[in-house]
Amino acid sequence: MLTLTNLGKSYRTSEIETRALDAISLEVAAGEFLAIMGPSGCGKSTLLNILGCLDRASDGSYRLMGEEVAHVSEAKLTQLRRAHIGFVFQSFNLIDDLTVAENVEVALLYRQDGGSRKARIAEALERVGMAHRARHRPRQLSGGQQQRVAIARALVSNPKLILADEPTGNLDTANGKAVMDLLNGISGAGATIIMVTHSPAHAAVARRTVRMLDGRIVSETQV
Amino acid sequence: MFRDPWVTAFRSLMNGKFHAALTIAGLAIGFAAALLLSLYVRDELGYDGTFPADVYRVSSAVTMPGGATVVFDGTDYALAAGMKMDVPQIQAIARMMPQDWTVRHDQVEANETVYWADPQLFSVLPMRVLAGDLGAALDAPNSVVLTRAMARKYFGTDAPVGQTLRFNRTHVMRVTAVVQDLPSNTHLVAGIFASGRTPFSNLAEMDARPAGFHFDGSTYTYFRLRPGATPAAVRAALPDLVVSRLLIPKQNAFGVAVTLSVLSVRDIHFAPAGINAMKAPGSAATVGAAATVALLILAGACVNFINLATARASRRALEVGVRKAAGAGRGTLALQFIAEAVLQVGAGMAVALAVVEQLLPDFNAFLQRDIGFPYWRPDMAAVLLLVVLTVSLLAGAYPALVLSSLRPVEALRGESGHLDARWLDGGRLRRILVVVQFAILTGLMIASAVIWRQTQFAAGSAARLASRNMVLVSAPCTDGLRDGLARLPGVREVVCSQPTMISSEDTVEMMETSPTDIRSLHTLSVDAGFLEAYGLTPLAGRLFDRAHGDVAAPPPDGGPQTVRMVINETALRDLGLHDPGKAIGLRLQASAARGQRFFTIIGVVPDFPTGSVRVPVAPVAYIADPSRFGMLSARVTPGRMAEALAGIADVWMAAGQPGLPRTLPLSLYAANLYRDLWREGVLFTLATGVALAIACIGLFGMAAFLAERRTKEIGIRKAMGATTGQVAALLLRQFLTPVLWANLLAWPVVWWLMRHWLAGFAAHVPLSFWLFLAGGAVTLVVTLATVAGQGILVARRPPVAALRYE
Ligand SMILES: Nc1ncnc2c1ncn2[C@@H]1O[C@H](COP(=O)(O)OP(=O)(O)OP(=O)(O)O)[C@@H](O)[C@H]1O
Ligand SMILES: [Mg+2]
Repeated sequence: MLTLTNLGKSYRTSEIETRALDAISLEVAAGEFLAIMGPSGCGKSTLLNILGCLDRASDGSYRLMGEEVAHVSEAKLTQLRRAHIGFVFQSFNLIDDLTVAENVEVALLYRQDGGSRKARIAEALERVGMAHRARHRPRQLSGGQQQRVAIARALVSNPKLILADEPTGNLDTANGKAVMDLLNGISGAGATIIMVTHSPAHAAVARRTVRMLDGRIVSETQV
Repeated sequence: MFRDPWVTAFRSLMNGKFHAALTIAGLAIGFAAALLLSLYVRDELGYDGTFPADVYRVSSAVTMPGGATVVFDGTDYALAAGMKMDVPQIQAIARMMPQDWTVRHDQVEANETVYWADPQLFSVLPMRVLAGDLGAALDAPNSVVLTRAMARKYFGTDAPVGQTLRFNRTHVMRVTAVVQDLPSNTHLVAGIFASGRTPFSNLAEMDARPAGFHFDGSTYTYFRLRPGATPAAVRAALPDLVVSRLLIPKQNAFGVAVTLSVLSVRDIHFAPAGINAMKAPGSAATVGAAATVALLILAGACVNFINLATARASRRALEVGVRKAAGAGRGTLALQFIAEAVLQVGAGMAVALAVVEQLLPDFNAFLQRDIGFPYWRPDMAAVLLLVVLTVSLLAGAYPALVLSSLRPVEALRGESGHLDARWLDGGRLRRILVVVQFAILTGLMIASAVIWRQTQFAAGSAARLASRNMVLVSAPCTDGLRDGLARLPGVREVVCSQPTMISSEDTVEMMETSPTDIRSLHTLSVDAGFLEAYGLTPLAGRLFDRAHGDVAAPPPDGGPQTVRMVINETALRDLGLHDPGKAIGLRLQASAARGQRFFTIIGVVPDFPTGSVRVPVAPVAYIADPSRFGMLSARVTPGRMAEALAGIADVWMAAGQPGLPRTLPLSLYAANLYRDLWREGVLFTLATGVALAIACIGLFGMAAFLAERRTKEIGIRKAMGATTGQVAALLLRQFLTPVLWANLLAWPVVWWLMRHWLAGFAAHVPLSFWLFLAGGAVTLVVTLATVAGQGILVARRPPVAALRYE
């Protein structure tokens, strides 16, 4: 699915240079469910953003589905995101002015494939158990419900790669478990999932866990 | 406790420097423009305010059968003396009669209009004296009173009392007093007042005439009432005065009716002007429009303020939450926001005052006024302060109310995103305000386009006049003068005519198409070749020709005469005729001399407008009566005007004409005709520019803050695969809808207003639909240009940056 070789990311702010990622090499096969763990500030979100084509690496190589991504244009990155990737954020990131269904639709809005959008949105909401709330606004939902809508948005376009940055970070145990069950189900259906989490229990749901420290991968466990 | 809101307000402004700069700039521009317009309106409304309110002027209207009414700003010279005797309510009455003289002292010599006046003039029209005794200044013959500007012009000093001037290089006149210059906002245009007891003055000459049936409207007559008297009593006495003092019976052989009226000097400016008005009258419509535009600009600035404040408000929600959590009450917070508004509005006003002070000299030069701006004077300062407070409250109340009413839990819920729904209400108000602002803008744009087109139209008609390349010379049409001028190098031809164009005289004659149907036509006496020189060709018949014996004065014994006339198209219509060909040969009876004087039509020419586009072309009958000539038109080869003018001076002297030559290039005359319209055009275009600038500042700020508010949404959309172009389009779209609504709102209003405005012109451009489309298109383009840069900048930011934004 994707291969990272000696990937690095530096942030330059005035005089200080922060090395957020350093010599990351990682291979993820199609259909894998990978968890990334590590202390705050170790570069997990940075890595996920690069994997999701939201940001660019400073050095090294990133091959997504056989294609080198490190130096492609902004437009190409947009195209890759559109074609292959779904996102779930810790802070849900739903648009407040839109309804639940419309929020899910945003993921389909910028694709040309057309088709029966309504049916796909309904199906996605069905899968996360939020079909009955399609017409509500995000702020009328609880945090767990909002995150389930966000997951519906991530999977409605059938992406091959789903990236989740602390999807359970803002949720209580019960809601966190529900979200993990959902992700597990999606993984079972064939999608590749990469998830950042601070919870060992949630990491255990994934079959492979990568631990990071100060921008490097320090260990890996495979179940 | 009292200090705190101000300190907090100040800090908060400092934190949002960009926002504050935009807000203050918008307010300053708006205030400055509104102030200038208000100063103009105040100047107009304060016309003749330096004279007491109980000073009145007598004017007259002479109506002839067949409709023509000629209005004079004066009355007959014989009225004043009788009026003083017959109307006890009048305390003092004084006359002024203008006459052109060449005035000289030492090397300084120029043509001036001298106002011959009764000695008591200054007790009726009080003026501030700088030197001499005004009470007795005009008592002695040959005495003159100068304004300070005139004193400086001829003597180089402010108090040349006792020194002398020469009129037409012969009469010696003694300066007895100097008065302060008249303000620009008075109906009087005078610099030299001279004693009417001077034997050679036209006033004295008129007074020496025997009494009898006559009417001459050229004497300006002013009076003051006794304390406690009302003008109504004077008005009631007027009809009898016409009979008893002017000796014009109610039923007279000529069918003319003279109506007298009195007008407070302070009302003169906006009253319809007579043909001998010293100054073009004010236009209530223009003053009203200027006041309206000032208010609209002020409203635009307020809308801007509200928009910018609410756009920024969502950013400040957290601050409100924290302050409320820390125990701040609603009142305290509202006070803080109002205080912020007062500081910003005050700063805007301060900048505006500086700007106005800078611009005032140019503004005055443009309007030819001497408008002052004593903003430090208590009354003016109080008004300005009131404006600052009113605007602060109007514009600051809404943001203050909404922000201070936020519940702390909502304000503190971490993500500003949660508040956005709540701000939707603010968003709706803001959208309405934006629509209103754009409607004002579009409206102003269309209005100034219409005004500008009408100005161009008038300029075109003026240019047609000017293209004749004439110079008008005011003098009796003697052979010596005419031939001398014709021989000048650069002069192509010289033609004589009655001086109607450059004087206030006008002759109207009554003609009868049948014994019961009387028509009044303006008669203008022209020499053979005059109509050709002005480029007129007959539609039917022929023009005057000496060989045909067309040019003839009335017989000296008053015997029968048939006057040949060439009429214009309007006169043709007035006579009830339509086919120019059928009019030729028609013989009409002159009502004034039945059985003696007849008119026959020998030709018909197209209308030739020589007046302002405001007034309709009059029905004119051109006749060729040399006894009425008093002006020469010299047609000059293009490019040789200066040469010709210099030559005219020599010919003038050689022909024995007194003083300096009285010349007026036709181009100057034409330019004067549409100067006021041109000023209106410039004023409105500038005002539109200001409104546009304010709207752009507001748009720019709002686009920035709305884009910021939507940062998270932009990030999400980009993460979902939206391209830069799609996001930019999304951001632009929110400004297109208000522009469309604004046009729908503005079009009917502007259409209605401009139709009325154009109706004030006898000849005007059509109110074309494409102007409205263009107005809308310009608003649209300006809007897109203002917000596009920002939209694209924001849309291009990498999505991580957007998503990280909290
Ligand atoms: N735009 C930026 N500019 C400068 N430094 C940055 C930027 N973004 C991230 N960093 C730095 O890069 C490092 C990694 O940040 P990152 O957000 O990836 O951490 P994280 O592992 O996701 O932490 P957390 O668990 O708290 O979310 C941090 O030291 C952070 O300060
Ligand atoms: Mg993180």
